[in-house]
Amino acid sequence: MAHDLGLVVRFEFRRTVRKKAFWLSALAAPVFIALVLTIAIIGNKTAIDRSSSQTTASFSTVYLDDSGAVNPALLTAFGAKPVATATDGIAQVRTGKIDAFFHYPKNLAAEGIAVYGKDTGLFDNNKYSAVADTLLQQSVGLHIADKSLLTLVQGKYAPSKTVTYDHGTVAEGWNAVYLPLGFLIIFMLSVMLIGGVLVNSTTEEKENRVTEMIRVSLRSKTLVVGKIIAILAAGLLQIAALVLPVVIALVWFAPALGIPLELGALSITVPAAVFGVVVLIGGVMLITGVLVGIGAVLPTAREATQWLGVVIIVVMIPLYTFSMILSDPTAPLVQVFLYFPLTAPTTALMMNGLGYLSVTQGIVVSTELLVAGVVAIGVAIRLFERGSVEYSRALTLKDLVRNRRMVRAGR
Amino acid sequence: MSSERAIVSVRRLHVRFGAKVAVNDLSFEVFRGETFGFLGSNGSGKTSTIRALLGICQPSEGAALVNGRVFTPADGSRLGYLPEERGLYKNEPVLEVMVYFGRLKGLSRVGARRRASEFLERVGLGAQAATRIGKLSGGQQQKIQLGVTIINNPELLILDEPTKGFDPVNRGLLMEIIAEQKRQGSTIVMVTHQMEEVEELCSRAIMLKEGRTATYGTIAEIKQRYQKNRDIDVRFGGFLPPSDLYSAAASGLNRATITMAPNSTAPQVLAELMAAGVAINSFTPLTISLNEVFLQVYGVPTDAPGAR
Repeated sequence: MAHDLGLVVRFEFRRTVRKKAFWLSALAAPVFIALVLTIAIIGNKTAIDRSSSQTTASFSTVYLDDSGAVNPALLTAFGAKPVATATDGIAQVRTGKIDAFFHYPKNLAAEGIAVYGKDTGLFDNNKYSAVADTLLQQSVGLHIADKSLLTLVQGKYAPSKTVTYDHGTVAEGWNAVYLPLGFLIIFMLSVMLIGGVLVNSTTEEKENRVTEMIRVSLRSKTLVVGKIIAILAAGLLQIAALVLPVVIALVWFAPALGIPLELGALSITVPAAVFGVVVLIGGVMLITGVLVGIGAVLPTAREATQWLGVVIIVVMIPLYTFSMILSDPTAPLVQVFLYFPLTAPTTALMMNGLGYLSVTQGIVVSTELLVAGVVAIGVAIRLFERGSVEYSRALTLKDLVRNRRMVRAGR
Repeated sequence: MSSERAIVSVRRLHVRFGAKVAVNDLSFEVFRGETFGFLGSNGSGKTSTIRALLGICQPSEGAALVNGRVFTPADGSRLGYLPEERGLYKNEPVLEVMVYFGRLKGLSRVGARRRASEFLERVGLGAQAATRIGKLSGGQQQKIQLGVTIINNPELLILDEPTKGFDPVNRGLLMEIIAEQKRQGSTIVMVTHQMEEVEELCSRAIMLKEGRTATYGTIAEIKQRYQKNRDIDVRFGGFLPPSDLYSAAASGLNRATITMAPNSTAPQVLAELMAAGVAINSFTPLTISLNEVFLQVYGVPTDAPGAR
């Protein structure tokens, strides 16, 4: 059997990775992400440049200072002239006589600065408020003699660092989240990338009418397991081709994007690593078994693909509970998703990533998924034995129950 | 007990799909080295029997044995099976698929490649070894399927409608390859509707009707069983005298078809004619063709809904 299994794995792996669609789907995402990152970086830089230039922009201005907080000398230096009433200032802007009017109300804390200006486009319009704010801040700054205090008042200081303790040791915070959440990403990518290949590969045996020719030389179990191993291996290659460029790009561009990513600070606890691996394996086995079963029961890839969509939706649905897990991981909906087999992998991997999966829950879900995975693959093999020679119609539940004797264990 | 000569033994086989009976108490044997015709109209249970024999489905009752035991894929290295519903991996190159099947049937990589290449050259597809199967014509794909079937020089070759879809030239080539396999010692079971192929290649046959045996035996025995009219083609000189032993009808100049009376025999008729001074140039009893037997057995279309 090992000889045959090796043959099947090699043959199926080769023909999977040889398909153009395989590489297109693997490489399209990194290329797209690289494109988006490049645009984001260029956009980010442009925005920063334009934002800083807006604070020093020059335009004709009138003002009314009811607060008395703004230094008239600064306003004059900017070229701003006072008006008697707000109505007058607004009218001057409206008629185009002047570019902008700043009204500093009496109670700045409650009302804020009213800024009126000539429309110069969504982004450029920001220059009016940027200048109005800068004039106010600089005016306030004139009352503070200590330059270091002035810096603090302007909010120009390093971000705060939070240290929390979990049972007496320093908690890792977000640095402990990224790696465990990686299992969730791998699981999602596995389902999305190999789901279609698994279903098509199973129905292809029927659509191409290969089944009978191959089943007299090969046990169904060997064929199905060989296909699964080959497609999972191809899927891993696809994930590597997809994820590695993204990771490299993230590490490379993180500083440019302002993302605080320190690889050395990333950490994962032993339970999180163990549960991540086991839930990932169990989840992939379960979904694989379900998809092969669907491929075995339905006569064409087109029909099977519709059901593939349903499975993917069910697997993805727990993602919508992300905020619920953060706020209340004991919520009934979260608990239902955690223990229902098809939603369990996503929910458990999310909770594991966010640090909300208890050891007990981890053990229960891991065991459940491993058992369900083995059962699903076993059932898929049986379905393939029975359904693989049904060329033109879907296998019904009635067929399966009524003809259990037609399917012989071990073949 | 099955005969020692038997490579295939089917004993009181029943195959049911729920309430539908596909095969009903079927028994027959295929002897080692013979070419056996497995015949029947559509839906008579042929494919179900073959599938039960090869373990693709499980018998409801009875036994279907190859070499005295239930067939398993472990015995696949000695079997060649060309099913009625057949195909190959359409997106893969011809040679690669043939080598894959050859290796699954126990050949080494080198051996499988050599056998595949030899076959491709033989059927004129040597230049298409690297072509994807889906790009070949239907007839070319059929040849590849046959090549995959015989790549391991099987001891038992089961061919379900092997000439379906072949043009006359390729059909001739196929029949030649089948005959060659027989010469090399293979036992061949042919499932076919082409009665002339059966007459040409088979020594024995079984006809199935609604899952049961309609007739079974050597080709001569089967014909004998269905020989209703007892006619003799006679070429002669002189005149045919009237007789109680026969009635005659002219079928040409100095040629007639004699129909024997129920209790007369051919030697008696010949003796009577010679005694009457008729110069006999030829005296040939007319035998029924297998096609006529088929029509007699399946006179009414029998697409039995329950049978597969």
